[in-house]
Amino acid sequence: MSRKLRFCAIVAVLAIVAAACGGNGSTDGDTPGADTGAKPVAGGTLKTGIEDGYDFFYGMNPSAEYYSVSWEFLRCCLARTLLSYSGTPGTEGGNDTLPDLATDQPVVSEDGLTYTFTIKDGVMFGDPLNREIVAEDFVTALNRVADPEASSGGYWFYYAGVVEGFQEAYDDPKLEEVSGIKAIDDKTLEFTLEEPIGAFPFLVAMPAMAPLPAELTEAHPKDIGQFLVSSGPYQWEGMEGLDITGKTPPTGMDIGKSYVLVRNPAYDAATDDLRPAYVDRIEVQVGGQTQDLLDKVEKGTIDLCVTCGATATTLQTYHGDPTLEERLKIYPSDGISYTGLNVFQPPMDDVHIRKAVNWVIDRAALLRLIGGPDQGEMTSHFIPPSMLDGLGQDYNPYGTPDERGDVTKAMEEVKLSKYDSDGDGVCDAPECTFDALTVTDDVDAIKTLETMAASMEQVGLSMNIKTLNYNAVVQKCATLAGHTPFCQAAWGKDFASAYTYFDPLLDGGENGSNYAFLGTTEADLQKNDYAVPADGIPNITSEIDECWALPLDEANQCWADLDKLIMEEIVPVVPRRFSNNIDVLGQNIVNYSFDQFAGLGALDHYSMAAA
Amino acid sequence: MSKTQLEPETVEQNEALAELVAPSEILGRSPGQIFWRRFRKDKLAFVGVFILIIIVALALAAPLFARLLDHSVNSQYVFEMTTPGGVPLGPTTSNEAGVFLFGADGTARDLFIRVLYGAQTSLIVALTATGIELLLGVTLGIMAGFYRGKIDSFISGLVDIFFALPVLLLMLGIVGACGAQPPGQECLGGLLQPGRGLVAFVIGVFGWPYIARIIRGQVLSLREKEFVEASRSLGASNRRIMFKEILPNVLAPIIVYTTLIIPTNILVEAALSFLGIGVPPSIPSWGAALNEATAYYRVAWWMMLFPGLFLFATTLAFNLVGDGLRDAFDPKTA
Repeated sequence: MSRKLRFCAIVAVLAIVAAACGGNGSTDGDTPGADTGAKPVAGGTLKTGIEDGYDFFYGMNPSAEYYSVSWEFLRCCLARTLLSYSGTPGTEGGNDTLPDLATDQPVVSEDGLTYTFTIKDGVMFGDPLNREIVAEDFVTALNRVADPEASSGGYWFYYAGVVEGFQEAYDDPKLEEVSGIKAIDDKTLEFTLEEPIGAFPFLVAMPAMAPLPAELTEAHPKDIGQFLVSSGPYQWEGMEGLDITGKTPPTGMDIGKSYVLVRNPAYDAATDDLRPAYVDRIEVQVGGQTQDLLDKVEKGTIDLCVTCGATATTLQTYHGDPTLEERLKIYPSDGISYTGLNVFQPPMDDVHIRKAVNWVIDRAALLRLIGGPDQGEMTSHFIPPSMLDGLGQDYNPYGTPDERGDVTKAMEEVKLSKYDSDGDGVCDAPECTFDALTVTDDVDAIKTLETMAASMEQVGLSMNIKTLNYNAVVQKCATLAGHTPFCQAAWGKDFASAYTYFDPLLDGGENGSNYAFLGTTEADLQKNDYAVPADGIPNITSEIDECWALPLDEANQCWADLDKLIMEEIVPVVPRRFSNNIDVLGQNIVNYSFDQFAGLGALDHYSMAAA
Repeated sequence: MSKTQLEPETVEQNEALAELVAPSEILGRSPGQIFWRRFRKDKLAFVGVFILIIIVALALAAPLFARLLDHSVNSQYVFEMTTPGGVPLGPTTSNEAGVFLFGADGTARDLFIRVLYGAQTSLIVALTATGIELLLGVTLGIMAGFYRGKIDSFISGLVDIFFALPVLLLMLGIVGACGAQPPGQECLGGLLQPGRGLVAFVIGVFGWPYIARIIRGQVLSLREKEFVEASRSLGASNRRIMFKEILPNVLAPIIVYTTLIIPTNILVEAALSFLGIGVPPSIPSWGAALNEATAYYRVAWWMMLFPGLFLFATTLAFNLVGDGLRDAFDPKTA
């Protein structure tokens, strides 16, 4: 099942960003947009842009959208959940799940298998339904996630094996209901788990668990996003009086072109402690290239580019002008930029070659070329310490002087490989020339590959860099049939657990985002003309399951140990950078908050200068 | 005072007058001599030739310059030629990494060396594509004009179909699809490898109809001439008539058209590379350089200027030469 959307979203986001905590982003919650001294006020319009091809990938279908930008729009504006996030940085609790549509945290049974939520009074669906949200609407939402057609491309797998009966409902088209969720009454909802999972509240806070009215899911099984009836402070413009059983979407929802959010008249701010929802209206125009959109922000044509991050040009311009510099907002985003290595495709089927690549690349040059420390923090391991409660902060398995790479150590590894016939530390087999793929219009990714190629040439590894459109790259990188040994990737967490790295990216064979294909089957390898490794197929499924089952506070060390295992023994990735998110604010924005959950600026926290 | 008799004021007029009054002294000149007498008077064409000579020389000398400056085409100077924020530095003769006449590009490489190697890419792709266009266009054009009838209808129909194709989109699709196949699965059984050859092939395959139509029109007229009749009466085969008798008589339009499509092909290659689906990133290209420059134009003007200047100068030069040749071959257009 493809999980490319989340990946894609992260690519878009990370392409923008930069920087270790050393940026000028405040670690407080809401911060001034510029030094205007203005306090956040309600009202005004937030005009935003999104680059070509980086808007919502499944038409804002909440059961399938697996993309940080979509998630931010759902969290902030359209789809409240039982538990949700405050739209603040991690240092301010932005990764913590807080009661939203639920009156309080869930009541958990002693055996950890039953979670009971009480739903707030007075929470309503917006236009055109304008009715109270009840427990059955959450049942509808989870049943929809268990429908492979409705949630294709999404993150249904997080619920499989966790919520009782989910996997069965997913596998059996005739089984329409998940047995592990029950509406006890209109205000009481009960989940039954198959095993105690400490991270279950995170699953409840994901946008796919937002309540959905059956009236809507029945009328629009596929294009639900266009008619999405809001449970949040905003709704699509034109929802008032809309026939949601019809085929004409509201005026504010033009997929791939533009989106307009206006206030939801049925929303009661008194029921919501998480969303200030300052602006009256959010306009989104899709189209344009990164630098063009950032230039528009500087000129004031738009207030914000949601997906752009910041280019080296923009960073230099803004850092060079104190009045502009305060409009750069830089926060660690719990994301990583890395290279996925197909561990079955020569020459990356040899662990010594994979280690050699990790030793030889010049991480300092790679970071500098895309904008320097603003863009993030160099790393040679996989899990951001922010996901491990700080564990792994000093772990640097391929650390080299000034992080410029170590050719000697790389050559030592190449010598041990099967691709160095004369033992001189230089890869000399025909397989040492191989393909690397990246996205055509991703200038930073191309620069990164070219820089890595220059380093790898020193040990005889020669890359043919090929560029394709995004979908083609994912298709080739995510399938064994693509036979692509070296793929650029970026990822951001789904919730604050290392599980959301290991499970999607390094488990389950061909799952859409596991570019290393760990855990694939012998049959799949043979079907795709791969040699089956004599020492077995690398697989960390049991280790992942073991960590996942632990209580949250005990799991961190387990995940940190697994991080070491993969970086020192399997080496399926070449980590480069724990990424930052950079938002460049227009001059009219007077309040900003970074939403650690989505890794983007919180749209409900933006406030505009009074006209 | 009114002039009642001819008073030649220039040498040229004098010569012309002499020819009028003394027809017996007219000198016979070959078509080549006539062409050269006309062409050498076209100063702009000579400027074009001069520019082309310089650019070709620079392209050929690219490895020499790379050795002299000790900057290979893909060498990076990240810490010497970028700011801490990754913005490339401009032209300099005093950098610790040496002389960078055109500054650095976005990957901290020597832009001067990249531009020179880019000239190689542009010229190789454009000339190869033009060769493919000529081969297909001239062959099919002569056949259509010579045979007429069903063959003409078929070839002309093919030309019409190609004219109706969304060529740029097809180029994007084919170069994109064939540019990233894993080893063993390349297009045309591996004949089309990503790189200059693939781009040239695609440009050439879609560019031939223009010249085919021109040649067909010329041949339709020439096939009725006496020399063709004579050749046929002597028992010459159709192939001989087409390629030994008629082809030499359409060389003029072929040469003119060639000089005009080369700059077009240079621009198409640049456009494909600008869009990111031309030659692979490791091969220098003016189009790719211009694409990269769009992200830096506010802080690194040199990245836009130098590749743009070379692209402009090369296409202008070819056009000037083409215009000159056209005027020289066909005085009606002079």
